Amino acid sequence: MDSQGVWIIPGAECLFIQQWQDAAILFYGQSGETHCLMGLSIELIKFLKDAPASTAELYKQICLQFDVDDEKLLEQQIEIVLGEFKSLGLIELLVA
Amino acid sequence: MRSSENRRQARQLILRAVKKTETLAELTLSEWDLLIRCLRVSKLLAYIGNRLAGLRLIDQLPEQVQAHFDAARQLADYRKQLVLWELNRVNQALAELGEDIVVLKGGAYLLLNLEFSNGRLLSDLDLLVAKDDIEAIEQTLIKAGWETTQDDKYNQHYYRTWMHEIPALRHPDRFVEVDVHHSILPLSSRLKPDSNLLLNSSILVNNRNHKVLAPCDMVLHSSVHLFYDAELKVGDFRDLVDLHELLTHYSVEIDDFWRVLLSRAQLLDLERPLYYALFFTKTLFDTDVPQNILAEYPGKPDYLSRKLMAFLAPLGLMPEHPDFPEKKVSFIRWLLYIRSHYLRMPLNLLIPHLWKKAQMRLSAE
Amino acid sequence: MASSAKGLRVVIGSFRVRVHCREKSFINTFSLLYQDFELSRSDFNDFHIALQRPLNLRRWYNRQIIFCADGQSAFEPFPLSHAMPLFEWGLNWFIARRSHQYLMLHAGVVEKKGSAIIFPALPGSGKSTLSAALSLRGWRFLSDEFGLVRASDGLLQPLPRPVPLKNESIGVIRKFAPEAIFGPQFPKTRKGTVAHLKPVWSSVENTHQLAHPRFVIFPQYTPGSETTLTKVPKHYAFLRLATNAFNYEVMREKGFFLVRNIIDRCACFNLTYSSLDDVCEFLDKLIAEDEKL
Repeated sequence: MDSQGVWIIPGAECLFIQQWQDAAILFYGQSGETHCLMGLSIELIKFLKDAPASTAELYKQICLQFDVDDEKLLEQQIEIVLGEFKSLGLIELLVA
Repeated sequence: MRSSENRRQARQLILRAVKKTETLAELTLSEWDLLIRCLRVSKLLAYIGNRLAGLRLIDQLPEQVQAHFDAARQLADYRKQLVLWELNRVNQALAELGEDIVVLKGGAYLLLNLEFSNGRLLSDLDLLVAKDDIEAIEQTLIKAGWETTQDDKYNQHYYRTWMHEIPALRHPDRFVEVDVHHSILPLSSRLKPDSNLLLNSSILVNNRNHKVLAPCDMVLHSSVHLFYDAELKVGDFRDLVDLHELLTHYSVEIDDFWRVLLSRAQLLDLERPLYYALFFTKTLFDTDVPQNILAEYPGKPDYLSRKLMAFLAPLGLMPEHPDFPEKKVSFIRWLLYIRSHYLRMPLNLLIPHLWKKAQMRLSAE
Repeated sequence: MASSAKGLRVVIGSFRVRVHCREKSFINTFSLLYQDFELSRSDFNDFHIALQRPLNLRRWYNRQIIFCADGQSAFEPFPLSHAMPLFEWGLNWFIARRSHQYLMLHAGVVEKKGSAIIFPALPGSGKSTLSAALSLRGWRFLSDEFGLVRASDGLLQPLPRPVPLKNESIGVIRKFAPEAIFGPQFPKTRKGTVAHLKPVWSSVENTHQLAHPRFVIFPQYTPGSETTLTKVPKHYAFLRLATNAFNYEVMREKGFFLVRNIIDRCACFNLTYSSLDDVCEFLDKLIAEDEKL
């Protein structure tokens, strides 16, 4: 797991999230783009909007909040979602 | 009212909007009816709107007039965000290369937070890089998903042989074109400003990997762009306003600005475009250029050139009255177009190029 | 000023439009379709439009007409006889390009008893025909093309205009409402045969009264089907409404919040229908029930 830095949302104050039931619409002011998120990705972006966090911290938070059966699978999924966020320009890795 | 008086009224209103923005709240609805159209053609609607907002005058305007400024400012805001985001993506893609990238023109004014930049209607991102780096940069961007906008072989060849940039790149998911230059003038032009001088003096902004030209170099680049590089068209009036703003801003901020500017122009071999920039901003906008600078200007163009440009450029640069266009103006713009091409390339290259352009236009129709 | 006297100045929704054209056929059609519109007494015009013949041989031979806005020609010329469709189409184009004081949804909008329905334009939706039909059954017609959302309060600004009906829709509406008034038919436009339905007087009259959005309904014309409404998830409705707007991206976070508020406040449905009579009755009931709540 990538634990060498913390993920931040540059300009987090211009990221807006509207959740309806199990889906959320997100507007990111820096890119001007609108995204539709579901499930795990909503939780991750909400954590990161509140404060920067490392991958390990995010994993811990998710485990606290939900009952997790398959830890390996969750780890993998978190990394996939973070990778997607990064390619959309939503998050950047800050290396200490 | 005779049509010549109408035309004069249009010119006076535009100049007043730029020079005496604070008096605009006094305009009548019929004056606004004309001014809004003129500002729109010259791409200055958002710029004047922002100035009026800065002066806290926008709420005093008639509601209908406000709506036009609101809409234009919204669009300028959007374009600004698009260009800054494109820069973000370019930086991301080129992070590993570690080469210096200098942001030019509108993008630079934005990064520097110059007030007038907020209302500038941006369309492309212009970058300056070292000539030796340009190929690696182009390849990296293409690998990261950008595509070339010139598929035509002749155009590609023309760009690479004679121009100072590679054909524009565009990412298919986005709208902004990225123009990567290695010089501020085409390779074939007679003036040869040394790009290394520009790159070496460039400055960092925002503590990130963004660089912009030094203030005097920005003024010189803007002058070159207007009075040497491109074909003159009605939108160029906006560039002259940029120059006015840059000169006004830096002459206050920098000690001994005019002397530094002039010696920099000499060093870079850009005295003549700078002369025109100073001459026309002063003539049209009363920009605070010291009189002795113009009078004692070294390498001042000869009397005939001066007279000719003084006569042609204001007519060619100012937007026309939308209801009373002049046939003469399109002829003047044509003259200025030929001039800019003549200055850009040796004459024997000019004729085949224009002929090619004409052929391509014919076959396109 | 002498120039402003040239042409007719008319109030279209919240816009003041100056139109100048010398062609008799255009003037006749325009006078019929825009008969109920108020003339502008303001010295300020939001749009200056001139329809004129090009300055070449086409002036006389295979005659054409060009659309000029603010003194500059804007599109490829049209055949002279199509001046009216050109005017309507060109005005739409300029409204969509310039009016970023509004979030501009691409949608038909109608209103009854204070509740507005937004019909987003999607291929095969028939939103023009549906909006036109409702306007002929006592609904207030706001637009068949533009859902103008005022940025300051999220209310809908009416923009009633002649409705360009295409091909079979012309016959359908004539049969549906024999009293409806149409302009001439224009065959062989880019969209086939077009005829403009004159907007009903009561809709044009109330053009200054903004409306509250209550429903977002995605219509789907399906031959032979019963009229049915099915609820759609909010995020789905958001994406379909936003991606279909003319300037959602340009409005940036304002656009996001305006669409969010609409979707949050409105009931969002898919609507399948085939009979116009049936669907009008159905939507009447929907509004009546909504009023009781």
